[in-house]
Amino acid sequence: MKHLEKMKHELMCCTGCGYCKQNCPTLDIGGTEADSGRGKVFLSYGLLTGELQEEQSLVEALQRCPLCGRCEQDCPSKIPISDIVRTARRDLTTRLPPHEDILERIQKHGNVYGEEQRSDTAGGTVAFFPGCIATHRAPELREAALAVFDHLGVDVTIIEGCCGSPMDVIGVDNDRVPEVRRQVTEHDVDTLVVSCPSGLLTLQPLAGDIELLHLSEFLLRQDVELQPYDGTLLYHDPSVLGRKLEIYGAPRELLTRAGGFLEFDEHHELSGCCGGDLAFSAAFQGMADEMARRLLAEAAEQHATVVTASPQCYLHLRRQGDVVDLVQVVAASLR
Amino acid sequence: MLSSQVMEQLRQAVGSDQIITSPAALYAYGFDASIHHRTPDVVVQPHGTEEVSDIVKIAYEHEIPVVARGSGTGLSGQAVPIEGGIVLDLSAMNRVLEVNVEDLYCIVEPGVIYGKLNQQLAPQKFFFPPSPGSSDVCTIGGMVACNASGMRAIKYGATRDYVLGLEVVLPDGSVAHMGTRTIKNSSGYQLEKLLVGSEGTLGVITRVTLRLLPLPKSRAIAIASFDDIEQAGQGISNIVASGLQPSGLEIMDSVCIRAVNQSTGVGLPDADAIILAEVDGDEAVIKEDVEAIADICRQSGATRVEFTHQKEEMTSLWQGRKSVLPSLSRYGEDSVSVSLADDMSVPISRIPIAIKRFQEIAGEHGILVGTYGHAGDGNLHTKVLINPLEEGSWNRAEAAVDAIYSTVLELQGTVSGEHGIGISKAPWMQRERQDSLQLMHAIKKAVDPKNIMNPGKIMQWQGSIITHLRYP
Repeated sequence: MKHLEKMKHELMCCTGCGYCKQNCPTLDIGGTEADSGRGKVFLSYGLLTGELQEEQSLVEALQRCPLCGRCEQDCPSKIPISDIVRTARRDLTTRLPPHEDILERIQKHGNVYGEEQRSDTAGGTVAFFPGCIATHRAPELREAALAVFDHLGVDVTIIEGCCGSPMDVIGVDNDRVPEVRRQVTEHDVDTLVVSCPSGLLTLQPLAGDIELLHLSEFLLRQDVELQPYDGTLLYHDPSVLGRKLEIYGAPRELLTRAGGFLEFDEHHELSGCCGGDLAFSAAFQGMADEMARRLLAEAAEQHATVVTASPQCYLHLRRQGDVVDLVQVVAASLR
Repeated sequence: MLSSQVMEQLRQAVGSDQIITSPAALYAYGFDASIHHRTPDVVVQPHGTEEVSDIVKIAYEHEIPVVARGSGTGLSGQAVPIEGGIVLDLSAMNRVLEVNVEDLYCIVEPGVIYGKLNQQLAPQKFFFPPSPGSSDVCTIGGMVACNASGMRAIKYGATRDYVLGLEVVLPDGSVAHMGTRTIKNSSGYQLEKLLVGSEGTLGVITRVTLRLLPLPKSRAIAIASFDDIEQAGQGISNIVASGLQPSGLEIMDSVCIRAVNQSTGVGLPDADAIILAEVDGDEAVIKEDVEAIADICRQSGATRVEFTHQKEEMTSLWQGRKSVLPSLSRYGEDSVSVSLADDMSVPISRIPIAIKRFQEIAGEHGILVGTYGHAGDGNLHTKVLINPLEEGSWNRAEAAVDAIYSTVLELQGTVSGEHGIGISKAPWMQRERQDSLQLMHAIKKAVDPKNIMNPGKIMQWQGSIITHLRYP
């Protein structure tokens, strides 16, 4: 049975009103009906009913979406469009070449970049999961986080490896979450602090066993005291941290303690997408880069530097301009 | 499937990157917001009149259907290429070419989004009034093609009232300029008005000259709750007969109220029916008018009347109202809202009887019908809620639709007030306009002898509408 079978009612609830087209970053750049939220719903419907055969253009169209969920904010029928797209992807058997590469590296090397796997570091009952990006591509974020933990006197256990988030996004079974669960159990920790929103979303199945927190939530709980940061910051709500995990307050409170920040014209639930989803930006780099440029252009207009709270967004935005991660701001502003 | 010769000619007319042939993308272009679907053979995204003209010339030569499309928000299948062929996606032709408030007009390309045009006009304190529910998505070209209107039609009329001139690519690919840029015009047949509401069956609209109105200084809204929808309907008639001129006068039944509250959290009053009345103009006048409307509502049996002139609250209320249609899809566990019998108009005083009769029809046919609409101008929306997968549900829906439209025609109304005919309303429009059909066919034949412009729609549709469904 197709995975989409369980979404059938949701698919039919979509009236096709097209309100989802108003603010879709993919449609804005791609410009075809298949790029819109409703277009993805229609394609999923065609895939489910068999009206559409699985072939290259369908695979590409269903993968050409960063799953930012902006369309869902404009949908009066409350159609879970990103869940539908994720589910449709699970019914595809063909993978795009960049996705094949990602999956192969995760399977062979235990991380998305095919780098040598690090070993866990034992410590206290609070575990830190830096994730692939902060470990292999933006180590300054990992270092900043560890410096902050050190400053706060928190002896963290470091759990290395991959949460498997790209597997969820691409649409294959995620066999990494059980591995993280095993590591967590082995180290006997009671709290898992995750820096990457996508990782935090993917690891939600662990929430029954231990407390899961985003790094910003944990730092706020430590009552970290900060001094003013040198520079004007414009906070960008990462799509997953905001719209999916509904964590809006903690990053803002930390930034307020660090001297304040500016908001994008559209923020919180209405925040724009930077295109940084790892699987999306790997397969559709041009489109993803254009999304980043559009966000950065607004920062330039406001003479501010974008601050994000997601290593994934940080890494992607950095390719196009200036950006800092919240944890770097905190590390630089410690009293 | 178009021949390789046609495809080559298209590639010579526009860039390859403006031609869409991938199966997935074509499939997505086969939908609008109606119940119908048909995949086109090719989609072309022209950037200007010349490209449209070149494409239409190719279509004319090879007798290929051409279906123009804006945002695809039509509710009756106007943009569904029911006979295949070429879909012209005009959304990239989205420039506002001229805004001239001294002469009270603007000239726009068809792909301009209605809401964005008004955003651009607002700093100059002018606007283009029709205000359809899909205002943040729909295009001006689509509005003209379907003679769209919306919540403010009671005071400001429909799109046709604002179209001063059009540039149209005719079926042979020639470019015709119709109308003027003057406010008044008695020069011969007003073909620009004929093109309004022609749903792409006579040509492709490539430029629109629209009349502009000054933006009202302020607005206020009254919301009146009723225990009985017929009383609310009577309240509407009483307001209209009082000589007051509200800029919006809406009715919603309990099904719609609950659907919006469940879906959007707007927090409409929990009543059997509500009237939403908007007045606009000078502050002193609207205060007086909104209170007068409140008094009439109370006299008509309203159990509660509230009013507001807070901009955010009014925006939220209108958003709630605009969300009725899609929100209804969330009303039932098994049923979804399908676009059938969606925008009939009756003489205003017949609204109470129409609403009562629609509810009886719903009961008789075992379906749920939500009723709402711009009751102040006689325009109602009914939404049919069915389970598209249930055996016999479509037949029951079609029978109910037939009964609803029979009532509308008995009440001397029309089957479509603002969404147009397309496919979904064609059989009943043909019943309503029996003595005009011959002339409609003659006009179509004179303008489009090869019948390539959106064929099969309006007076050309034959048979049941329960076909080419986008549901299984």
